[in-house]
Amino acid sequence: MKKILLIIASALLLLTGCSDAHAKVNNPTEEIIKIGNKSITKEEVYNNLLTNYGSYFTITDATDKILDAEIEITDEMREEANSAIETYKAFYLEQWEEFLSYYGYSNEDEFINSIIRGERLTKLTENYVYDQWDDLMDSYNPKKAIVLSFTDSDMANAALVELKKGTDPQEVATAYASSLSGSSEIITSESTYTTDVMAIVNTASINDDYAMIPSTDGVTTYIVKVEETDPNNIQEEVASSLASYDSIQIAADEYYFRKYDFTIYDKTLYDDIKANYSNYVVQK
Amino acid sequence: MTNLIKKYWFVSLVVIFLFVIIIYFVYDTNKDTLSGKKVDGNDVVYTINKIDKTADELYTDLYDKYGIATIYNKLEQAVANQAIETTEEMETIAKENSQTIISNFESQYGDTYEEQLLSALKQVGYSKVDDLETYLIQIQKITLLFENYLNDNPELVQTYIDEKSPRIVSHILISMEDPNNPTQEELDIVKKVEEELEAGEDFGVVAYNYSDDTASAQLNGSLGYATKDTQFVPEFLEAMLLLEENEVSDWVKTNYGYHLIKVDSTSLKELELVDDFYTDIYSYYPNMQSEAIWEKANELGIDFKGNKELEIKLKKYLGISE
Repeated sequence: MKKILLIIASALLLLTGCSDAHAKVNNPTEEIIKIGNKSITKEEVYNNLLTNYGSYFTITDATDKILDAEIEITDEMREEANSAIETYKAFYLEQWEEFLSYYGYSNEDEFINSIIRGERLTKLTENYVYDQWDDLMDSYNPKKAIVLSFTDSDMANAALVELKKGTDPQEVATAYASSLSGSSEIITSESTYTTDVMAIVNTASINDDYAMIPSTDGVTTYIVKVEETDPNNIQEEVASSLASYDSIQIAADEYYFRKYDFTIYDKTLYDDIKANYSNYVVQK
Repeated sequence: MTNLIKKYWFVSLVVIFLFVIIIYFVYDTNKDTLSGKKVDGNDVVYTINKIDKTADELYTDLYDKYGIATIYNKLEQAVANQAIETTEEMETIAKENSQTIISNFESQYGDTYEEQLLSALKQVGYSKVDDLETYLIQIQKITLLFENYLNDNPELVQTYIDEKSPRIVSHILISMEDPNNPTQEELDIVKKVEEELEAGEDFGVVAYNYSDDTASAQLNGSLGYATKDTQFVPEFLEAMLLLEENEVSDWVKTNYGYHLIKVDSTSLKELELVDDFYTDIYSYYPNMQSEAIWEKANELGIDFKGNKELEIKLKKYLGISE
């Protein structure tokens, strides 16, 4: 009987012994500063920093580690970043330092690093698109097409005549006041064109000529020409386009955080990231 | 043992059943418990690509970027709590204001209002929505601290007054289609206003009855607190600044019509009762807030624990010169 009671007591102890982990700093009672009779300890400062800045910093830091593992910094990236800096400097002139300070950069190098980081993030998302190519092509069904848009049907008709003659679509767009530029674009299931436009994009072949879609809203007339239906022939363009989608970026983040086994061991941080950046919580 | 179990088989069954329930309960309670990790005796906060980030490493990184702002918030809280006593009035005001703030957040953000409110409180060094009243009490204490600082440094107030010419102002507006060519009807109203004022009628009463600026007319013509930087039309501003306390201007023509302007008060005692007075002074002296906190902190005693770097960084953050 005593043994049974002992076992039950042990089980109850197990119950009280298991609680969520909170990572602690070493020397938590170390005084950082004392004002009057109030001591501010290292633990107090740490808890405050963790609550206010921990989740954003963690996600950024973890992302940087993933970038270090996946995307090398290339000379091309450095050149693009330096070129971007020159453009900014030429624009802001004497206000350049003010611009840097306003956006929270201590110096020019920090800003260059930020631009390079952005380029690496884009490359990372593009790599995700390549990794998940077949599934994403099924989901997004990308095509390359030219779309022009007119509010004046006479202009639309005249534009169509020019396009069929072979005039450059961007020149036609400008000459006939199209609200779209006439440049080629990647259109997917997430594009916001009308049902009629999407029907043409999804069914036309590259041999079909420009098609006019008469206005159903009484306002807009579209002209559409599909240039490529096989995404495998335009991989770079498709990857670049899809990489700009929020849905793809979110999926890519989750994919890489899972790939590199991102695991949180502090309950405060876990709850904060779950509340504000839930797609990054990938641990079981 | 076996005989015992056989003899008391029912009790045994109940005990086993209870034991299973307990084990399941313990498992169910703890299955979502977050487990910790230690490396070389240090708590790990997170791991990515097998790289551990310990709490101390995270502390160092966060402290480098945001430590001074955090310490300033703590310093301000410590000064407010020790230098100024919490009164019942402060608690009442904080309670009322917190209810208003929560209502405002609810109507602006709906279901996510608590998240937004928490985010705002985190910016000022608090970590729970329940801290709102505490924060509002701190605000009142800090405001009182600044008022006391100004009382102790009257030259700051005088410099502000000399520079900005603050006053409390009223006006009577007679709207006109074309102020350069007023109609007879408009001029008749002008005359009526003049007659009533000459007969001794109160400026505020005349404003209430005749002013076409309906918003201020409801307040007996009062436009409230004004300084030389107030966004009045130039003719109005110029005339207003020439007046002493209780003086009324001649008719001032603007593109709205004709105005009579009265300076109700320039006295410090009256100006101090208006919130705009202090708001404007704090804008005029952007470093005054930190100077007042710093002075009071020094009175209470600051011990940097030998950390000269912290002292220098904090002073730089506060805009305090050596």
